[in-house]
Amino acid sequence: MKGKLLVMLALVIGLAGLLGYAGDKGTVYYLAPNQFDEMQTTAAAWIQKLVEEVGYKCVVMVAGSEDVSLQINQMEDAITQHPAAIILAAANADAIVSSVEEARAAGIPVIVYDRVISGTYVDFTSVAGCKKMGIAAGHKIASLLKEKYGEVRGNILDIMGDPGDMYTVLIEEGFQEVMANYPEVKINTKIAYGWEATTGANLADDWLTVHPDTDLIFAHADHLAAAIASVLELKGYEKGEILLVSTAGMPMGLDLIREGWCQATVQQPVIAQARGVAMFLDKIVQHQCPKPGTYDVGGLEATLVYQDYGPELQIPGDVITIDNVDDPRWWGNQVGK
Amino acid sequence: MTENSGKSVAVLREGKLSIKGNRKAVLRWILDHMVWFILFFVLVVLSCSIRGFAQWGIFRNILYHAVFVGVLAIGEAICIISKEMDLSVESVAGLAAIMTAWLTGTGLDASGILLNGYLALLVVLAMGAIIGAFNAILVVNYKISSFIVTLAGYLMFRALALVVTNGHGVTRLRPEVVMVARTKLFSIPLMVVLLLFIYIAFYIFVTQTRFGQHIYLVGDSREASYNAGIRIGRVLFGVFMLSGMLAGLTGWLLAARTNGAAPNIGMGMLFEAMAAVVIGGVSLQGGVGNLAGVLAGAILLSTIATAVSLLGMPPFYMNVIRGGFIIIAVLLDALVQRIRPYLM
Amino acid sequence: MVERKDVTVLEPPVLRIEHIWKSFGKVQALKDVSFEVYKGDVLALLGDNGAGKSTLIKIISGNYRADKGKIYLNNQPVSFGSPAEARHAGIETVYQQSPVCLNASVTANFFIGRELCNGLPGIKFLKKRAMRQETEKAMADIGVHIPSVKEKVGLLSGGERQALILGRFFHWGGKIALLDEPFAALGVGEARKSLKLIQHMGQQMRLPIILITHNVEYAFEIATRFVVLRHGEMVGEGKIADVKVDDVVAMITGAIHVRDTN
Ligand SMILES: Nc1ncnc2c1ncn2[C@@H]1O[C@H](COP(=O)(O)OP(=O)(O)OP(=O)(O)O)[C@@H](O)[C@H]1O
Ligand SMILES: [Mg+2]
Repeated sequence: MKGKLLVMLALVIGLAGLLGYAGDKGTVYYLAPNQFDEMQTTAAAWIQKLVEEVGYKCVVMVAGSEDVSLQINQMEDAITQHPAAIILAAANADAIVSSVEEARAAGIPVIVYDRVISGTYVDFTSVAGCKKMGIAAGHKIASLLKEKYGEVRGNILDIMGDPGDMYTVLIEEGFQEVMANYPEVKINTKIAYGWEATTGANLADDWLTVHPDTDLIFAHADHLAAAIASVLELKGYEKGEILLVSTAGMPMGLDLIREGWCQATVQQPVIAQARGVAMFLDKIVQHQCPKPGTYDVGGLEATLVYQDYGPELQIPGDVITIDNVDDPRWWGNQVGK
Repeated sequence: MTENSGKSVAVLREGKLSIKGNRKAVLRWILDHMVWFILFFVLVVLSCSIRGFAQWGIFRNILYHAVFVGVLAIGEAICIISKEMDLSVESVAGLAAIMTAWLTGTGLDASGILLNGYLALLVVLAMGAIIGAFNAILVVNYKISSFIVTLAGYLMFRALALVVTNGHGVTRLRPEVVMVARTKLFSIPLMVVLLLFIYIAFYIFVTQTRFGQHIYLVGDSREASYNAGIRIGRVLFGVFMLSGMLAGLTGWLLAARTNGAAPNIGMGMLFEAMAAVVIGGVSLQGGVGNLAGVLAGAILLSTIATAVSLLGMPPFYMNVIRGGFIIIAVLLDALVQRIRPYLM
Repeated sequence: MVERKDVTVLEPPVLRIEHIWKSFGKVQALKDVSFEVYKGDVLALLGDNGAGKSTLIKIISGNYRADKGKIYLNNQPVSFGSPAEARHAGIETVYQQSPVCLNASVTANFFIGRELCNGLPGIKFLKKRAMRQETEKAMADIGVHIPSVKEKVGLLSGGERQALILGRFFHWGGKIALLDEPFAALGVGEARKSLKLIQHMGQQMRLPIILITHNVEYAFEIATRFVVLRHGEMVGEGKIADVKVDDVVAMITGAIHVRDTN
């Protein structure tokens, strides 16, 4: 009994020891909303790597699976440590506002990564523009349908991710905005709660059984698309017989394109977004305002604009198809290889 | 384990003559409040080993973060003391949070009613009580195991809320709700004061009132209680309704805390509440348990969460460590049960 | 019904049971059992294992319902749906295997269902100290020393538990008492003390008592009358003073069948 307790104790102290040192310039916390998929794990890994490269110690806190309440707790815990800055990918933008204000009141700069918080002023925002990704996806889908019928018409099965996640909500917004121009297109929107791949697969399976006239499936992330592709294969469809479009640009998404199951994915510039944060980190920590304009962020042309909620670095989301799938700039080609 | 505890018992037996009245009472008190000592020990270890841990801000956070599981665990604890089970608490809390947000929210998918926050509290408390009564009817009148009844509730109630809001969360609540999460009394969050107040009230309720005593007796032996004329059905109705109301309150507090309610709000809290209850020394055999221990259990869980966050460990470590503490707590409890007779 | 010319009957019987039948599936546990209990009676209910004694007690105490037959308490017909109702009517029962709350304190078990409270409307607060003192006194009266009445009953020995249940019975009394094997777990000393207390309650306080025991000597020591059951049937009834131990034992084992001779 006692022996085991001692082992536990040693473990705790040992782990604590890992934190025994801090970077020269202080600690930066990155608060991630989850670590489900390659996008989130890549984001966390690259933020940590790039932030440490510019001389800070970086600690990643993960809010379980999009647990809003846990993220507020983590925000409060981070504030007590007086870090150099807090980088935040909010599980819920409205819920976190008061904690953001609390941090800034304590003199800690808050940097928003990927998920915009518009309810309060923040020191820096680095986004792909999920809505823009939705718009890009919408245009790509329209052109795919046009290729098929000579005009933009047909039936689309639209599979969103968890509705609690702004990522999918914004993509949906952009997508619907584009599709509103095409009254001949019928869109059926389904939800894969919790971003569950199996849920997405089952939705597609059931839908195709009842509606074999479906032309295209738009999955809001590559891991959903991968599950849906195996449903298509199982049901005996040819590659491309039912069009498949996705977003994120995960390694598995790029593989689907190479295999021919997926026609396009709108990549989220995950690593470039992280690079953007690291580029401006020193300035933000010293409470300086970055200048508006265009910047080269890892080969992508990014624009810095001032929004109501502060400076925002917008990095374009590219449409990846079979023609450009091997471009080394895509984050999906940079990880795990 | 067995060998070791055997040894301690032997030592105690030899020492029996030398342990006199008062000192025995002190030792007994320590054993009965073991969880608090574990908690204290953990806090000391963490304070020594994590830089920036030993400060009022962190302790305040730990208490604050324990509020939700803490309140939920009271209901679960009295259910388990009465030898029933309430698996629906988490979903009822989720439903209450979403109802609160729906009634008082200004964001998308809200009702637009903009109900006063305190009226919304009354609504969710009443809703909790009704759900509790519903559970109790099935358990008492239809003799269905509470495990099954409340398992159904666990699946049903959160989903019910999402039906109302089309599966979306609701945000931006009326200010009087949000203020509850942001007000401090002498640098102590109002919710922490509320937590302590609720614990004290329920502690008095279960230890000092006849109804409270009956909860223990009914959980201990249904037959003895029946023979003694305790109206078991009525006790269980009270237990389930209280549990439902506490879940309703938890939901309201969560909505205030997150200024809204995401569809997954409070998800996983059932197991945290259960863990707090078990770590707190409440026995699943019924009739045994001390709410003070449950509070310590809830605080211990939030302590671990805070430490894991500060260390930047992946969140799944949190539950690895929490699971470990459940085992430690239960083993220690078994040890205490063996030593205790020697301290009579 | 057996005629009773031996007592001057001025008062009606406290308890009268008439033609009670009870079966559990195929097992006929009681067949047409009838007798009366008067003030001042200590009635020994005797019989072998499985004779139906406990079943009869549980019918009177409201745990079971009889298939047929009537029960009168002070000449009023009664029919109890639960032990609580029977107890409310003044029937105090000590069961053969009295369930206790093992994790609750001695005091809590002593006062179970009858807690002393401050009569606040709505919430009833326990008078813990008063209950403790009364429990201590009652346990001292029966001569059992318990380390602390605050201690949980699970830590008591079987005999101490039985003493607690008997003590509870002595404390509360009632109109009539049903004791099913109350000495089973008691040591010689405690059994003696309990016998004395039962005798005292029966004779001085004139509390009618039905006592089940396998110890015929104890029955002869304190009972005034006896009833013998065999396979659910009444095979003997009478005054203890009129019979010898051997005769009663013979009735129990089936060597004599009193009814046959009638
Ligand atoms: N709940 C029950 N269900 C089925 N059968 C029962 C039940 N209770 C008693 N019996 C049966 O009824 C008969 C009488 O049982 P009872 O307990 O009354 O005997 P008893 O005279 O008290 O015996 P003992 O001296 O062993 O306590 C037995 O055959 C028993 O098996
Ligand atoms: Mg019996």
